[in-house]
Amino acid sequence: MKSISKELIGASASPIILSILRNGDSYGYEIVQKVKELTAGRIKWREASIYPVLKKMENSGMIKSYWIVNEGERPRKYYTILADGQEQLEKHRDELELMYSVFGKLWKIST
Amino acid sequence: MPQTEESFEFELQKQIENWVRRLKSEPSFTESDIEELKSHLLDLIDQLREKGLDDEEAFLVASKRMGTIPDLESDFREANNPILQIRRSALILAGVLVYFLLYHFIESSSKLMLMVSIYGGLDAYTGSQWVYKYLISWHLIVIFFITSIYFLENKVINFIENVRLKPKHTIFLLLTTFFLAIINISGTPIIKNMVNKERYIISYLFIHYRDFGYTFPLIVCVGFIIIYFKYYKIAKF
Repeated sequence: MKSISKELIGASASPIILSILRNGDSYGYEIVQKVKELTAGRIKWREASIYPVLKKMENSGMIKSYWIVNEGERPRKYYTILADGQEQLEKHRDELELMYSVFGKLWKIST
Repeated sequence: MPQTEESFEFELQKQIENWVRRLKSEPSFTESDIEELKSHLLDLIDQLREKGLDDEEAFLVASKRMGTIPDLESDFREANNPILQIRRSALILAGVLVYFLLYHFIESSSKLMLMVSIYGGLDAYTGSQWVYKYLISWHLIVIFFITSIYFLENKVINFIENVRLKPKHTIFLLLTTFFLAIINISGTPIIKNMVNKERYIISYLFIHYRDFGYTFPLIVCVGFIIIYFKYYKIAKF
């Protein structure tokens, strides 16, 4: 099974993270595991590479982080999607749907 | 003697702490980043232990999956660039404040020393000589300090990385500098009154403080340039 190109993985990181957070707040490790499950291992992010992406998304106002520290449990930094993030996600969705329909038409014609 | 479970667990903790310590030695990570990465590493280790790996194997696989420290450092340096710039700027501003604080401390303490010695019965000429030697000795102290910064590389880097400058520290530095500056400025007319009959002493003192005003900043600036050249690559400015 061929792996997906790094460029495509990089470009899809932000919409994937926003889509996961749209369904509920999550933390870095959990997000990486969800991506592995959803893609059946076809998309494998280097474990720690998600954090600089999350930072950039937080700096641009798409998501916000907060710590949960429960007694006897490991402190975890959770992320939640903000209104700007929802907007960006809708924009990504429109773009990806457009590309999907374009490629769909092209490949139908070529076959 | 076979190792017990306790000693294995102890080794895992030690290896995790070493891994965290290596992260802390890199300036590109904030405390929050390190805490987050540690939590992720521990989650990975738990996952691998559930799959049947022992502690050592789980740590090795987990730390490999997290990536090498240089790779992590490179990723986070770009993401934390604004924070690092602010941290560096804050340190430089604090350095400027410390310079002015030291400058006013040296001058104000020399004037207080002179006032006390004249009040105590010492003649003004001997007092002015003491002031001269006091100012010279501070030059030597600063040169010694700069030299030790130049050679004690690891200790200096550890110190700079562990310095946590809070706003209240800068306010404290600023207020102390103002206080010392007031003592410094108000000391001059008091000393003039005290040595009124010996006006040549005032000339000596004027020359000492004038020269100090040139030589002290010169030594600090030259020292800063020498240290900057040395630490430029290490600090990744």
